[in-house]
Amino acid sequence: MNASNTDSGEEAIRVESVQKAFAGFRALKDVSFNVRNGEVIALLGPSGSGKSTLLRCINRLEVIDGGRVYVHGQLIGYQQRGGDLHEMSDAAISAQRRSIGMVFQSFNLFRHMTALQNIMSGPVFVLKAPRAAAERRARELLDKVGLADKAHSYPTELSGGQQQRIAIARALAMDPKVILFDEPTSALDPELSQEVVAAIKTLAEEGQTMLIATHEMAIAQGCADRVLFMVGGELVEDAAAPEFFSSPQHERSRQFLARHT
Amino acid sequence: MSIDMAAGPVEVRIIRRRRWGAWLLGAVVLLAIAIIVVAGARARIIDVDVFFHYLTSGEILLGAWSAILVGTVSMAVALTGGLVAALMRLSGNPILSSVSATYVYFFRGTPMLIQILFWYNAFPTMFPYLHIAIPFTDIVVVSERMPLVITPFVAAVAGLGLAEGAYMSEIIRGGILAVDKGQQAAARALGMTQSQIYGRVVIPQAARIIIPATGNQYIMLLKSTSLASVIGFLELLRITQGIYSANFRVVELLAVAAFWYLAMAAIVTAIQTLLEKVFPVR
Repeated sequence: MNASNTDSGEEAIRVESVQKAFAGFRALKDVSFNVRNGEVIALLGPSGSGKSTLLRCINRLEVIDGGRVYVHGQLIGYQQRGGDLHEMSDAAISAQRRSIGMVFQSFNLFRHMTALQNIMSGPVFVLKAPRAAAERRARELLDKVGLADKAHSYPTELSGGQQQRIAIARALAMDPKVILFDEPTSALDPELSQEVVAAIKTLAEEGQTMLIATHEMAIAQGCADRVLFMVGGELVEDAAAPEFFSSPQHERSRQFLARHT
Repeated sequence: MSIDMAAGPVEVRIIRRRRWGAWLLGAVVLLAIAIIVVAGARARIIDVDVFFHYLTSGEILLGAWSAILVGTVSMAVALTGGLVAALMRLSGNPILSSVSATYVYFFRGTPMLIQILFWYNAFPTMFPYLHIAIPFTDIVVVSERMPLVITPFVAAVAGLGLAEGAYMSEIIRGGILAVDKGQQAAARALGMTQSQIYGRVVIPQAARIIIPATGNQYIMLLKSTSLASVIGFLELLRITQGIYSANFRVVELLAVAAFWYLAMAAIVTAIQTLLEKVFPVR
């Protein structure tokens, strides 16, 4: 989609020894990995293994307790001066989030806005883009996700699959360097989730960098270049997708695949 | 049970059972009302001519206007103060949060009547002079004796508005908490700042949730303007009392006052219904 996103080899995300605990419960224990530009990563693992937490730490919806997160070489949330990390202002952190798209399990479309207004909200409110240009772009994106006729529908008037496609269009409207998907099909029945899988596949073909936490094997097997497999807050396997599915190395990976395929 | 399929369609009538009990009860209630109305008319408890004479008299209309004015200005104060207090309470800043909680406790916990009396009688004796100047300059914004600043109107608005603000802050806080947390997460992920998250996403959705409760409070506040009669403010009830203490037409004049309060309630109800239609629940 974006030519600069397909410069293979350039680093999109770097996660270094990230740790996160909630009231003593260690949700992430020393997680490290890299994502190159244009790569599509499936983040797999049983429920409660820390997939969502990991995604939320990348755009700092959760503040990490240790380690570092870089997106396109930019350290997220801190500025390094000398040997110290100084926490950024809220405004600076908000600015960093503009280039990191996120799609949620429960869609989280703004309920008081139409589909079109939802897609325009980021460019207009955050990027201060001119309304006319934002609307033109939003209509293109609606067309792209196959919902050109739903521009003026409110979220409650749309099916779950349609809402999630609008949510994807809303993320795309910011021209993000990476998009984080937090179980995008888990709230959908199999038929509706196919629509969303198709939209994600299109983005993968266009070279959009994506990190997708999912239970949907159609996404993991159909679009992912690499699979990260998590158990109990640890990254236990990091392998190219074909290898992961043909010869999983870790015992838990094998059990997981046996149950899900 | 056997069903004769071969018989073909047969006209079957459905006979509803008669609700004799409901009819009887309704009749008894109507009869009771009729007896009361007839008795009232025979006793001439209300002189219709007197009622209509005072209904649109200048004094009464002035009183009704005062009630609308004080009630509406107080409501504006309450909405502003309530929003600020609710945002303070939810700010996560322990100092702002406890200041807000303390405000709500005191202003919701004491009678409105005491608060009105406090602003009119006690406050000006505590602070006899109001002197506001911009520091390090010679500019003086106000310098006045307090009793001249705290007119009955100002005291009524302060008493009603600040007490109502405490209730509104809890209503607004409830509305904000009722907005799904995912909405804030989505707004934050788009890169919105905290003020954009509240201004563009949370408050518009919370506003819809608080409309019915706010309509309720507005009606209550319009009626509570009658409390300002204790500090000599010329509002509807005080004017009504003034008239009937001279001509003893107590029933007619109280009915006139009630009529105007009902009219105000009808207007607020209409506004509320309109807002609920324009902003449906989504």
